[in-house]
Amino acid sequence: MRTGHAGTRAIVRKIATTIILAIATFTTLTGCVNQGDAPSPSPSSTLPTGLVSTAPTAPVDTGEVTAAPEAAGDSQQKAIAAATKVMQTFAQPQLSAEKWWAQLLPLLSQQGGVAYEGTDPSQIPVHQVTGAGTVVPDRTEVSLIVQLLTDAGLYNITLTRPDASAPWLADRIRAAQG
Amino acid sequence: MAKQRGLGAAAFGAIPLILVGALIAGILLIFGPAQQAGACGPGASVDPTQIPKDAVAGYSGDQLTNAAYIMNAATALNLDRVAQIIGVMTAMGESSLRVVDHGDTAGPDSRGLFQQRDNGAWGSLADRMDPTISATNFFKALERVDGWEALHPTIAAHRVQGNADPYHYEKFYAPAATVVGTLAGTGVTVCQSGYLVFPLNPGYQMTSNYGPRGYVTEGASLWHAGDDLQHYPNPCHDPVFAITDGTVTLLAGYQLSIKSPDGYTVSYLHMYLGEVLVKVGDQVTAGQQVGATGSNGPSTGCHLHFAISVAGNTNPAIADLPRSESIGGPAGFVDPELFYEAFGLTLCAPDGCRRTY
Repeated sequence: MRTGHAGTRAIVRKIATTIILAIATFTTLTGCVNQGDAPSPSPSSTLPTGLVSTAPTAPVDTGEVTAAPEAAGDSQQKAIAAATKVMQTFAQPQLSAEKWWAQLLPLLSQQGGVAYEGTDPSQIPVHQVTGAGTVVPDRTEVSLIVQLLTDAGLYNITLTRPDASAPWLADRIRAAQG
Repeated sequence: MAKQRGLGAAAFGAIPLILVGALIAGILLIFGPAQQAGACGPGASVDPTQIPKDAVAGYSGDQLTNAAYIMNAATALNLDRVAQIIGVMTAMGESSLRVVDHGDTAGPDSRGLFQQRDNGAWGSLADRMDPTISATNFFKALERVDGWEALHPTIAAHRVQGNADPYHYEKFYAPAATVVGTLAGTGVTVCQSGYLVFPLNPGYQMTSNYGPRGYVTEGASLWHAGDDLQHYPNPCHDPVFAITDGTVTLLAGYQLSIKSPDGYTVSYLHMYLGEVLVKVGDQVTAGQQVGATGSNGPSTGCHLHFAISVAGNTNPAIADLPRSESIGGPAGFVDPELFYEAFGLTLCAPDGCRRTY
């Protein structure tokens, strides 16, 4: 008898919990979507994961993707000069970490600064730039990649800038892979 | 008997609570830039003598045993699943999960799973060659990195290791997550790596996929160079997140394009420009909200069409993906689902996405 009551209570509790949580799940999932205009569909229309069981009509979509405009020749020349300076500064494994960082940091973008902090320059395998830089296709006025040949092989220097009047800054300095 | 049943009933009631609670917590935590750290849950302890016989992500035998030691070293310090993945990822990048007894050109004195140097910071030679001790010292150093949980995993590892290339460990994240998930016995969790996130909050519908269309809708082109996602029944004004780091290169008409540091470009279509939160030249980070879904341009309903153009790509993993022109499409695109797979993620996984085409 006692056991039976306990079992019934447990089942009722379980059902109640599940319903509350189903509502909570649905509210959580849709809360950030509705932004004000909040219709309140029945929780029973949700799958366990919160996905709605009825299908949307696929929107007709004929959009075409356009490429960003190409950087002017002058911008590309400046990018090659900037990348070369970045590489010459980066490729100084003989420097102390403090000196190396003081020289490199002003040439880095914000994300570059976060990434290269804590680098031990003595581990850098590059000593010098050995060839002229080339700009990788899909070069834009605000982001492009310069390839440079060094004594440790080909490197990609990703450059970024907020607009065409700002100096190019380095985001990544990486040996070309593959 | 009665006691057992009572316990069973209590457990029965508690399990859905835990599961649903974990689901909500997971969904809330996984997505969004500030919310990704710790998204993968607590660390698991692994019995190093019970290692799968088959290779996991290309690693087997002693390599997996070493991964177990690394995971247990993290758990002993009360670190979470993300830390375990970072530890295994770092050792993959340093030693391929082998206790290496020799150095390399960059560090002739480097030894062990983490290639720790003989500079006093990493203990004796025996310490550096001991999987548990070397991993423990790695994790203690990781804990000293200010705000390591918010950094990309490869950058957090780099702050400890001081590698010449901060992004060296990036390609080991997906195999590390697979190894950690498999050894933990939980399978591979929906752990976003920090470099790549999903463009909408979870629980989205994919209304059209990449490739030749499986149906013909009047006015729609027969080849679709991206994926269409939305939250039904409220598909409008839905936050759109940058899926990778990058620089905004185009904002015009009904298109926002963000060029990744690896050179490829992700384009987000049909947002109303008034709802776009970034401008050309802005550096954005993966997971940052860049706008909201709309129906701007040639579109009959709110959704996000996103496409990945590989012009200018320098990432070999992306270069290996089949190009759209090789399967009858317009030039220069790759399948977003294959793109996610290349990073060890599933764009339309059953627990976060439903296909409705």
